[in-house]
Amino acid sequence: MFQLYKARLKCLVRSKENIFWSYLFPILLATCFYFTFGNLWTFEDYESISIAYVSEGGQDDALKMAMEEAHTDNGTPLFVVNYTSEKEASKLLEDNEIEAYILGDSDPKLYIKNNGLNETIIKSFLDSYRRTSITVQTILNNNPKALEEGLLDDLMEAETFVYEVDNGKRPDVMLIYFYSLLAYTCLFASGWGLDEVINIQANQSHRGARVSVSPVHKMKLFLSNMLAAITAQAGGITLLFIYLYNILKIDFGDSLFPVIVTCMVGSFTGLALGAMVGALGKGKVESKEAIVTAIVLGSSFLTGMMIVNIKYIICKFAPFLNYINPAALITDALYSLYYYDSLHLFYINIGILSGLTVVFGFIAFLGIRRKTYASI
Amino acid sequence: MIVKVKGLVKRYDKLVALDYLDLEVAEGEIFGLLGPNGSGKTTAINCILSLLKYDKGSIEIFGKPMSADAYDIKKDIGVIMQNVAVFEALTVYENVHYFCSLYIKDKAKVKELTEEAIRFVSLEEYRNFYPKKLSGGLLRRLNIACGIAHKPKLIILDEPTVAVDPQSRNKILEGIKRLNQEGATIIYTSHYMEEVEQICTNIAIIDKGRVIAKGTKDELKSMISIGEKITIETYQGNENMVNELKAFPNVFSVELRDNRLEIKSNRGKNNLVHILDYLNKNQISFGRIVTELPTLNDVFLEITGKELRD
Amino acid sequence: MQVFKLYFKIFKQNLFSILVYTGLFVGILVMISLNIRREEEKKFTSKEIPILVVNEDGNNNLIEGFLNYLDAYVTYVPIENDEEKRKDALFYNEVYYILTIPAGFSEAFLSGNEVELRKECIPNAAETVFVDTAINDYFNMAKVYRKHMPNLSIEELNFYIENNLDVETSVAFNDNGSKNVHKGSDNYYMTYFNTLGYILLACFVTGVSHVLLAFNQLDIRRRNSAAPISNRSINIQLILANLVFVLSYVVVFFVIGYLFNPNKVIGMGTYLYWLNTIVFALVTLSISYIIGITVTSKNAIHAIATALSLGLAFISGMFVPQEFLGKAVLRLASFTPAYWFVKANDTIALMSNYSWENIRQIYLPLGIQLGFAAAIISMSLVISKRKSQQAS
Repeated sequence: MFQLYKARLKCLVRSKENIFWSYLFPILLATCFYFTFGNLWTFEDYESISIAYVSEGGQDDALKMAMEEAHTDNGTPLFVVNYTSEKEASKLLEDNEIEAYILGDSDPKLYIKNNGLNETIIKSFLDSYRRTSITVQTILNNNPKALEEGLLDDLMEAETFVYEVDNGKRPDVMLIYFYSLLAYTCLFASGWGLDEVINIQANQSHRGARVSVSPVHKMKLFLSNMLAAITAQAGGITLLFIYLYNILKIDFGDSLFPVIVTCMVGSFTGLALGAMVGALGKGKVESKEAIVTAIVLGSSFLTGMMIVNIKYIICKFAPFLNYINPAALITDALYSLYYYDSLHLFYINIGILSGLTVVFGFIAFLGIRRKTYASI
Repeated sequence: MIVKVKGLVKRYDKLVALDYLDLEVAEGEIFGLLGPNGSGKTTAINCILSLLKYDKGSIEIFGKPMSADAYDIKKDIGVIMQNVAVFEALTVYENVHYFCSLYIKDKAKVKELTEEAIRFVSLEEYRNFYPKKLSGGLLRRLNIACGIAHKPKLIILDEPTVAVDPQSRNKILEGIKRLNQEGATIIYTSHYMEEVEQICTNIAIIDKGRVIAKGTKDELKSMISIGEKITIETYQGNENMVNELKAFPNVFSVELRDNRLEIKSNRGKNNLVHILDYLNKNQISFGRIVTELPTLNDVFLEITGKELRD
Repeated sequence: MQVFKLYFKIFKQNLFSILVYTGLFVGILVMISLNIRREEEKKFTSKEIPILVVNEDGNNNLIEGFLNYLDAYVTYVPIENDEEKRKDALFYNEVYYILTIPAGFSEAFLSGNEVELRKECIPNAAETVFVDTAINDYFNMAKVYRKHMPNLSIEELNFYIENNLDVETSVAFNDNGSKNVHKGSDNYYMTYFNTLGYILLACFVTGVSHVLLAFNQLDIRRRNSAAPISNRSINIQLILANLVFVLSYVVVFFVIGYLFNPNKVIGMGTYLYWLNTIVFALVTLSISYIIGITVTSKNAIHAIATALSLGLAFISGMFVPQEFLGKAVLRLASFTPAYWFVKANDTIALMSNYSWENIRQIYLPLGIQLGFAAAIISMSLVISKRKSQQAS
């Protein structure tokens, strides 16, 4: 048995394609993610927003002052303000010289071209400015001495009242991308699983026919081949994990053991999934490969690997999908390890994932149990 | 009997691939299964190996019923399939080693046998090559090495010489003879009658899933009426001459085609001498004369009315 | 046109695989469309964000007033008071935000002491920032009122604050009276076509290369070169066949985009997006072509297709808008045609009208894409010519 295992392993790791898929590709993709999301959710290189301001010509223009003084935490001014006529401002906006213009200061109107992040920032700024000025008016009407009592300073000193519960685990969207990448890589094992089944089925490949006439029990050969496949897969996962954990410094929560368990179970799920597709029906190998690829890529897409919002859409409109989508189960298991103190959710996800694996594996077993065929 | 097939029937939907096929292969034989493409040779082999389900009949190998789980039987069979079945990712040596290790537990023994098999098919120079780099003939030889390395008692070769250059083909045929001399019983399928004639001690001709004739080469030939075929090149042939020749003893068919006189006769002495005498007497000039003994193709032709190779 | 016909015969043989991939990509595209629509509908409209409030402070006027105020921004979702259940709700996005009001909060706040509310929320959703702002605004304002109008009752306080916070800046699109304006759909289309770029890459590289592979097996190549058809003619026929394949796909994707677009107006902007997409389809075609004639195994093609499409999509802003990407990534991406495709889409989205000055802005990105296509195609013709005489 060990010899069979060794020979098969040799076969697997020598195939350039296998090595690319399971070893190189995930690392490539992780690097892509890292650079893409590296400064995605922070505003470190915030660039001042160009706007135009059409004032009503008042002497004491508080809005103008407020806009000029506004800056981010690290001192970058929030806005670069052009003072123009309305016509000019409209032209500037059209030519994309500015992102928006503001008309008037007592009841400022915001003119924009596009709905985006910067427009939201400008609008929030204006809202907050106007609310503050109404507050000032109301208070001054009731308490004329308020200014001397430091009303303006108090207004400027906006306090934060809500704080994230500090359990050292700030939620992080970037992690979902990396976790789903890890899930994607786990499911790559389906390629190995499919291969192993094709290679042992007499009606699917010449090699399958050849080994079927040898005196080795089919299941024994199949299991040692699968074992070799899982070993090769484990190598790929380990490499990716080391890369994520030690080089990209991705946070996997406090203890690594359950993370490793997740990757292992996930790989088995992939293996069983591929084996199941391989064992079902008599279709062309190419067709089966297409099906496996579509399942793996599709389930990773639904997990949010490409666009993270898809995950939330699924949660909202088709939550059951998350319970049968292996990529989602792996991702959620990993995320629950990072985010939650208890292992409750982790167990649920791993439980369902193991269940799926057993079901896939059983179907695969039924398919390959057969030793003689109606046609080859 | 090493292999005994009785009343084997295999249908693919409506197509009857094997129609009550009977085969018996005795120990030490090189048994040839000869038939045109699509006659059911490979189906028969796949059924014998329990790769295919069959509808009726029984198969015994080494006196025991064959089944997919009959590992003790499989252990002593070597199979060389029509299609090359080796691993692209393994070298020549590793491929042979792998397949040998499926049959034999002892590691040292596997190594020894692997070396021997590689020598046997003369692939020593290529032992570290990957299959991709081998030409068609070399690849076939590797395929054979993978099938025989474990020194099986029964070797089944399914068209091992398809698409193989003459040099490799001769090597393969010689190898098969040698394996037989070393004690292995061999089942050999082919649609090349020359190959079968050349090496097989016993032959079954099959067509449409049925054995239409069996026996040794000579037995088969004696089954048909043709004893000799004489072809004479002449530009002076005519109807009259054909009729006169037909009246000769032993001659049963005379045909004149493209200035060639084709005379088929029963077995008999001096058939050619009589004809030459006749030609001389009538001062008919002639060119080349060819006399042939009947081939298996003639056997096939006579039984089925069609050529072995279309 | 024998080669042309043969192309589609081979295509038919691979039909099942191609259909599976098409199904996958159309599915992805539909999901993406739904996602964009959902995002669009949320923008600049009051949102009903599901939140859970855990009130450990008990009911009093301040809290009631606050919750009343917050009701305008959120939807309260009742969830069992159980730590696990709450976290599950958050995890599965049943609620976006869990706000905990600690015991003694009101008293401390009213007497001017330091106070803190606690929150747990789903990762980095814009919605949660929105809730943060609403909560902070309320208490900031309440604090200022309390300080400068100490005699205010809590009812009055609530009244003032609500009046105050009701104020919202009116936002208008700068339409400048120009025609052809169909804003709102532009964001849909921008995102739609940007992500379509990924689909084109993944779909075409897989499909086209697969078929081409069949043509480029050594024996077939030799037989073709032995036939009395010039290498050029073979290539031109192949390129034509590919064009038919790619363009018919592109049309399907246009239709899907149109069907899911909430704004069913086809205007100048739509034509520009289409033009850009067709240009990019040509680029992907050229990429598929060069892969199809240089790579010799199906698995390798598959690997390259997946790696190339996902890699390019991430660095060039097909999934994540370019404005969010780092400068270094964008600089790297600008050496790929994908970047210019996205750039052109973004530029089209920003156009407020379709004057020539505006349209001119996309000449450069379109030109660069065409340049890529031309360069890659001529490179593959050279390779193809050389390969026709190669030994392996």
